[in-house]
Amino acid sequence: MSGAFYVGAVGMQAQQRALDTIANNISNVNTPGFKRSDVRFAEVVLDRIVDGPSVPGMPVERGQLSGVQVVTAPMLSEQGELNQSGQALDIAIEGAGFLELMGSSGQTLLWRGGRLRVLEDGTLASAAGIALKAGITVPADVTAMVIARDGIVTATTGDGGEVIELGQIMLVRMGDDTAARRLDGGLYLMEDTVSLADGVPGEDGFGAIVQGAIERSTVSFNDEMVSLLLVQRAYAANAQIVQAADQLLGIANNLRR
Amino acid sequence: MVGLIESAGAILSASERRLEVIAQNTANVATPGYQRRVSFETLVANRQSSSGLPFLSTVVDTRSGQLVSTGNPLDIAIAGEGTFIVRDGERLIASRGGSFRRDEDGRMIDSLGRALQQSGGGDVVVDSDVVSIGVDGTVLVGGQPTAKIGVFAVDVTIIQSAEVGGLSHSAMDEEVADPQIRQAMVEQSNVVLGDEMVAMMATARSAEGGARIVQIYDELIGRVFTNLGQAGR
Repeated sequence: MSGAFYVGAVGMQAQQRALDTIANNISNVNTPGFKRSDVRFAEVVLDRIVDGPSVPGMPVERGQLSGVQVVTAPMLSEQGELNQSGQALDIAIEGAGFLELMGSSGQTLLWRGGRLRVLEDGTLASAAGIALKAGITVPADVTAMVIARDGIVTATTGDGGEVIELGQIMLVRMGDDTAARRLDGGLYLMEDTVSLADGVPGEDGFGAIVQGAIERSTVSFNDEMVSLLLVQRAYAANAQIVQAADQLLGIANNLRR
Repeated sequence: MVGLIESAGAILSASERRLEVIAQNTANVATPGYQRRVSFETLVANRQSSSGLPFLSTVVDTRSGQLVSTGNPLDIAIAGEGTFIVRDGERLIASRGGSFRRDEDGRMIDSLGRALQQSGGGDVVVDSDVVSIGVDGTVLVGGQPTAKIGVFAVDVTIIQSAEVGGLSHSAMDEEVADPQIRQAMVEQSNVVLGDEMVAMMATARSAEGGARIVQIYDELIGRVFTNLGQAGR
């Protein structure tokens, strides 16, 4: 049976998956803090000896053809552009670190920042209502809150303008980007086995916290459009291969008239 | 006469193999560092008949693909000759594909999780995302050299079998004297889609030719039977 059929089909599948990734990137071009996924193709090689006429002295043909594989990985270390939003409760990270959130069942979720919210009990949380792991409680009579680049949160209370320190937001870094599972709302869940490195914002490699800014999506429209065209053409080419393989089989079937 | 049908069969099966090679090239049109396979037919003399049977072999086309800038500091490409060697478990594999990332232990691994080997052997380990890779493969972290990426002169003829069984460790002995490594770039596949499509059409036509030979053979044999039958009456 012709291997070209399967290689062509695998090629089409790979392009399809690449298209899915591009679609996801493009649809999130305006999502704050979104990290684009990168599509990488890799050749697949399989150990197989092609059946051939075994004539003495003739080399044995080894087949190394079994298609292509597509690997998509979120490019988590790419920095998006920071836009000033002027909102005191918007925070962004300038650097490679992540904020830690405490999920409802106690698991650690990673977040690139965005709009913060003060919950009813005063806890500082993400806009989706997931509390920061730093466990910062904002008193009810606060008039202004300042988050410094090193993550220290200070607040000015209403009576007398007294400045108090509420706590410090820390950042984490992940050793291996691919261990992160993307969740809804720009959150990432790490596998339990992966260790996270804690660090003070502003320290080497962790990045600083920027208040009043929103990190833009890292998707570049131009790049995505170019990849889209490439994927489309590559898909068509693989479809042609399947068609040609079909033609060959048709020829074989029509040998006997 | 027997040779005719054998030749036709060989043409048909060679067309199929050739299409497989074309399929592999087309599937990898966007694979970084992929080098296209070229199939060629060699005539293998068959002792039983005077006709030669085509036997398909493939070689790797080592022409470099175009280097494109990606902006990812862990993408590396070779401008010129040589290959990287990556370690897949115990096997060593030659690879021109240079899009790497760091795993948890700091090893530089490619998209299939294979660890990049340094000059003289051993995994390349970098402990920071901020790396600078020199033209000769020296990896600088914070200005300090931590590793040297190996570019090896691997014979193309062994690459084919090496992809399957792995390279022998002696492949590490020969390094390219003056490697040209480019950081934040990947080498595009050197597949030209137009060439593959033309080859595909040629393959289909050659298969048709083979089929035609079978039909002519069939007609000839048929005529032999008819004519001989008439003569015998």
